Amino acid sequence: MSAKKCEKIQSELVAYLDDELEETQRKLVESHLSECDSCSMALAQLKQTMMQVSALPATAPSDEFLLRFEKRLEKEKTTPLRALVAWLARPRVLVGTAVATTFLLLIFLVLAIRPGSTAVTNTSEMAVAGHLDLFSDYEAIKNLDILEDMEFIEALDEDA
Amino acid sequence: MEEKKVLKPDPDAELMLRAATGDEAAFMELFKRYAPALVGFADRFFRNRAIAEEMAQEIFIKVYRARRSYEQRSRFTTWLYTIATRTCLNELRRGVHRNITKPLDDGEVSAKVQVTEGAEENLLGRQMAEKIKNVLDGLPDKQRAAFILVRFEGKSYSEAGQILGVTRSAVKSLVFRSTDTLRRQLQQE
Repeated sequence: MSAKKCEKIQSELVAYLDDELEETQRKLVESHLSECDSCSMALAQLKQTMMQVSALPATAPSDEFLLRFEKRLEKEKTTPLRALVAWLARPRVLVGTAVATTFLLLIFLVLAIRPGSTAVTNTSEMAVAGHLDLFSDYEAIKNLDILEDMEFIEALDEDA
Repeated sequence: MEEKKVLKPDPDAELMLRAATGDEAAFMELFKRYAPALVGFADRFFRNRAIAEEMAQEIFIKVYRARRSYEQRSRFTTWLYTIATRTCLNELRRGVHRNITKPLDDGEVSAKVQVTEGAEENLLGRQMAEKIKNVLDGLPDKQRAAFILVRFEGKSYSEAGQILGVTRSAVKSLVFRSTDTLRRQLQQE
């Protein structure tokens, strides 16, 4: 048997044992195995390894696991910002918010490019400056990871 | 071998759709069904029950947050394990819990698993378990995830591909390389 042929067959052995080969590939592997001791030995070793792995015990949760989750879930439900973001993340609300934001942005741009619009800009800046404390709101910053979650969830939908 | 797009009836997905409309009991039913398995799943990555429980809780909190936007585009468990795998891999990449190892404790062994009888056999079983876990710890993250999904969670290559966001043939390669590495390492000892 050529080493190259054996290498190719051996790369198929795990899928063969997992019953994940197409019929033609499976027959090819079986035909080779019937006349190759080296690949048959590799198959036996892989089979043994897979049996040892499947015998590994799984870790079970502790007795307090459910209770701890129920408490965490309650905390999750009572965090107002989380509830607000969950509401905002609903598809209809998201579309509505996007439309409203675009509309407001357009109005702002139209006003800003008008001659003598300095007053408008200044007024806007003053409005922002007057609410600077909102930007340093700890709760808002602390929960920014929710936005990451939202991106993550959207990505999940794309993957599915 | 690719899965057809026509989805079979999925009672878990129906529970999730109920949870999406605010049915808390349906959500808790899903938690009770799958959270224990997710503890076992996460423990394959972190080898620490406390961290594994934390991960399983985090995964279900993400499910809870995503419940309103849930759509049945695949089997519920595929969606759940996608969240679970990404959560575990992200945590591994953060590196905070990497290399935390703890010997297997009898109290942590699932009652469903038959433990080898006899002290000597039990010791040999533990040593083998440690060897296997050490080899798995050394695998690249994606190989390890594919190995865990297929070998421990019983996922098909196709489903593991959906979960990992790679093709079925990529899973085939990942599972081969990880299993073959393990075979070679165990043969050397």
